Amino acid sequence: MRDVILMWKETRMVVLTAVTAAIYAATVMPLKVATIIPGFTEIRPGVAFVVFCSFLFGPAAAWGAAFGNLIADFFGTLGLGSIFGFAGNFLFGLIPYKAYRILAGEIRFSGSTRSWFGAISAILLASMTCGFTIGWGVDLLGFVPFHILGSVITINNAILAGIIVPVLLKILYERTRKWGLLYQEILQPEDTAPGLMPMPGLVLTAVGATGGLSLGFLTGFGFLTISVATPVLLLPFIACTVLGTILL
Amino acid sequence: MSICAVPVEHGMKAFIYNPENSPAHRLNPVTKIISLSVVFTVSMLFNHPLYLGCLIALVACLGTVSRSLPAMWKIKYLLLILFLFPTCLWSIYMDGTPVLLHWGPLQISSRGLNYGIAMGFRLTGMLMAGLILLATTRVEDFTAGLNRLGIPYRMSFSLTLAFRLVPLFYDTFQTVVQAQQSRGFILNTGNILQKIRRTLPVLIPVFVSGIRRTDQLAVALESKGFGYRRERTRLHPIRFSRSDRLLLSAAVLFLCVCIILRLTGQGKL
Amino acid sequence: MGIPEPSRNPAVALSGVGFQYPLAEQPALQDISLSIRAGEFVMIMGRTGSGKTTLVRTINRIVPRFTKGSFSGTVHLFGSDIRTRSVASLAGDVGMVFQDFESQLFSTSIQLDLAFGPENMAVPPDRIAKRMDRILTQFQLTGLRDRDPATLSGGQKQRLAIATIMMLDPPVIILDEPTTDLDPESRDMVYRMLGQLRDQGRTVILIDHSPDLIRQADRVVLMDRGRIVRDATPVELVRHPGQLNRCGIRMPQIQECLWKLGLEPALSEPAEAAETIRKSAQTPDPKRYEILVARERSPRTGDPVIEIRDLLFSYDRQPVLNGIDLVIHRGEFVTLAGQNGSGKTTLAKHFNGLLSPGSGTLLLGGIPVQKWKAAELAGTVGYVFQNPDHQIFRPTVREEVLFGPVNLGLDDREADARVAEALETVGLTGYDDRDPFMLTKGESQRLAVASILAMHPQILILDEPTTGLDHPDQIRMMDLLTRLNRRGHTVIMITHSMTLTAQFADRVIVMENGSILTDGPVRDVFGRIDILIKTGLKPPPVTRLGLEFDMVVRSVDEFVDLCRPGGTRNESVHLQS
Repeated sequence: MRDVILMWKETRMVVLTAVTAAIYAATVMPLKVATIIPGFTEIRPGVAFVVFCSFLFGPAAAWGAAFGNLIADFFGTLGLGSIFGFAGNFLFGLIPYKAYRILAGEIRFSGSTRSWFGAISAILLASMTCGFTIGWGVDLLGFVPFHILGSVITINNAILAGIIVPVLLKILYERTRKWGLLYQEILQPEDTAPGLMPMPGLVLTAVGATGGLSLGFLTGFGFLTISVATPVLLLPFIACTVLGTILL
Repeated sequence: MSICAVPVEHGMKAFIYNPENSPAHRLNPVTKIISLSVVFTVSMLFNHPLYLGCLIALVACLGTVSRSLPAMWKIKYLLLILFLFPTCLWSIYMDGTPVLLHWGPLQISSRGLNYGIAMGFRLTGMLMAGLILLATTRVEDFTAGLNRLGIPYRMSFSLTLAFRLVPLFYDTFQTVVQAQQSRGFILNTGNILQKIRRTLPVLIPVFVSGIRRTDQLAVALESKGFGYRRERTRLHPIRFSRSDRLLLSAAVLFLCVCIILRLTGQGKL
Repeated sequence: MGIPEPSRNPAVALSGVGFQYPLAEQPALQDISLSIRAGEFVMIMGRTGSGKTTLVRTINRIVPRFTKGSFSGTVHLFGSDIRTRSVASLAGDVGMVFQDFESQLFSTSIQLDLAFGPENMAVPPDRIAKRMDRILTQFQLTGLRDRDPATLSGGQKQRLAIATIMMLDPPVIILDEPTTDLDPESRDMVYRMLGQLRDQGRTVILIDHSPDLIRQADRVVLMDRGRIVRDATPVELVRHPGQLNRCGIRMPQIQECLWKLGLEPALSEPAEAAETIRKSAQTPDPKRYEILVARERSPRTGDPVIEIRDLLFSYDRQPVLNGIDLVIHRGEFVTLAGQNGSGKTTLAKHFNGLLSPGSGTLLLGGIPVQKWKAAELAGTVGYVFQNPDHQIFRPTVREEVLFGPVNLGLDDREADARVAEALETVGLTGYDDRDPFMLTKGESQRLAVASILAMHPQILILDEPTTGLDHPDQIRMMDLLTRLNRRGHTVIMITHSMTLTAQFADRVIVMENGSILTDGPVRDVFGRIDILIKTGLKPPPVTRLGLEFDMVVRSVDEFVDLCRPGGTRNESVHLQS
């Protein structure tokens, strides 16, 4: 997680954060394909943009996604939910490049079979973590039951990112490299070093997100009856996810 | 064009800020952020519709004093939807007795309905309080407030810069849509999968135009001394006036009263 | 920092400076040595890619501190070596203004933008406030203190960008094409401001493509392929048009006329130049002028293709177009001129249905535009947007051009044929598999034209197709448009360039505040100089020279022809490279 802090000393990363956030806010909001839950979730292809930027700009995309979501809330939906939107989007931008590096065994996206495997798995994991975090937070606040928002966000993010990110990677990755804007080229190598325990971190994140989502869906959709409030029930999984991402 | 959620004539300049000179505008941003957190905390303490209803009434009074009711009125439909949605959802999802309504597999209990209304109030109350902050605080003051509360300058600056860039990139977005339309392209057609793929001719140029500005922005920033010193000065330093101290004391007092109420078992369904 | 006492040390001194970008094959700068005295006004000129920007960026260490690469040589500012300094630490010594004004403003109010630099340098708030009052007055921004910069016009934004630099009071100011994106009125204002800065004793270094400016400079530095090929006073410079030409720079028009008439190309105003010409007994021949004008009068217009009656359009409840009546005929070459915000682009966007009229009628080929199908419209009226970056999204040039024909539903063979044809027309044959994102500015501009041409539109609308291009690329673009026009396309070009309008268009429509101020054949409109001046547009220098002889002249060659029927001096200089 060091890079998430250390990146701020580079002016280019400060700007990339703002640029990611602004493009996110300026394209996500107007480009709406359909509405799923009014006011909460809509099919907005722009969200795929965050994952794509993560592969390119690394930590700047994580902050950019979080800021972009906050800016969208500044159009009138600033509330306690904004905190979970911030956290969820931050993870949505953080996990792809972190997970990719472990799964593909390389920082740079090369287009090999293994790099595609790494990228697709990273997209899935990021979508689940994002859906899990926001779903949990919004249930904790009492706005929407976990299984409804959690499932919708996860599926929505995974499908949109799965369709759009590969195309964007193919067309824009190498070009962005030529423009000298990949995070690993802007930051010093020692600043982009992986966290304390990347592999265990990845496992913890994956276990937290998949376990939490499954248990939440099982109880939420009525396959399992447990007389504990959902936010409390899922708390260990959230802790697991958070710990995992810190270790990444 | 049907693709724009934000009314085109307002563009992306339609942030909520309302340039007036109400007492709330003159407060410093730290005071406002802390007071907002108090409202958020209090709305989390209770889950009884009556208590949360009172909180909404209080927020509405603050809205009047701060002249931010027009901002709330602007998004009245969104607020209404956001009130109705949790209300309906929890009414259906939560079982309990007595059952008020039966409709096929769905039933609505009085406990579910009460809880749903409470949650609706909680959500809309928070958003209304948030709107007061947005309507009375400039972006720079907000980020300066965050800065004062311990967020590093470069981080809060990046957020300010992002706010500044949104209208610019929104203009780019609109131009790109028109440029592709001029090449016979129609954005919103086909089934949902095609619709999603058809955003690419727009997303790619917007992205490229945006990141091609990155170096330009970074160079311009450093040319004006960005990052030269650790400590920088501020044209309008954040000062705590008497009204700031007054409001902060009132907010803390209010929070304490609510906590005591809650500890004595009040305001819970 | 302020302006230091005059000293023996030059303000800026480069010696043996070289630089190469990491992925480049050629060095961007080679063995540059340059010394600029304090208080001098130096212009740096050269074609796109000649190294001008890289050169000035070594002066505040953007190169190589920010833009990495292999750097050699030394740079001194007022005698001290800056090799250990960071870009930010030089902010008080060297101010830099860039072409893209949007990227130089970071706040949502003018006063916060002005305070940004001094805040970074930790100037106490009361001193910032005092300095700001002075700067606001000097730059005529006093009433706008709390305005959001996003709501300003382009000219105001660039003025603000210069003001934010002046808040740091730097003794050296570098401006990198500051007026490229501005309209003529704002341009003149920026140039006037440069004069003020120089009068304050500051050292001014300006990169600009406009040769008519060089009179203002003390010295002009010519660059070509990373080297300084000439460093001379403007007077010396115009004596060697060949060298200017080789560096991709147009000769200033009046000096070109004088030179072609075999006279000393002094840096004079039209009136003085006219006097010189009279003395040399080479005054333009009124009879030849009459013949020229008479030949032009012969009608060459076809059926009406665009007919507009009483068109109104409002945006955000502000009227943008009020009552436009206009007929454009098949085969015309029309330019739309006027200041930014006068409604040119809004009007042009009605022609292909991007905007719908608030009221009034717009007939396209005799049929109301609303009744056209979107695809047919795109295949009839082509609109080339100003910035090619706003449309490029495919991995190869071929696929990029193919996008339009595919959208029109053409079959593969037909579409491929059209791509090949369009690429040939714009001179990009062989570029099929090139990367459209990595073309030069001139090439991507022509790619944008090709991607529209492939749809075979009868009418071509181009929004400022020459803005930001150097002279050789501008001429290439205008030659292309002329060829297309001769082939029968109706060409409508939005432009600020009066020089290109005079030389290439048949007809000019001047707009002001959402109305058509004047509309007619180029020669008629440029003859009514009082109306043009009112809108802040100036006829090109050669036209003003012709008016001294009561003739409306459109180009240097035309003028010289009128003066010397027998041909001109040194025909080997082709300024169209």
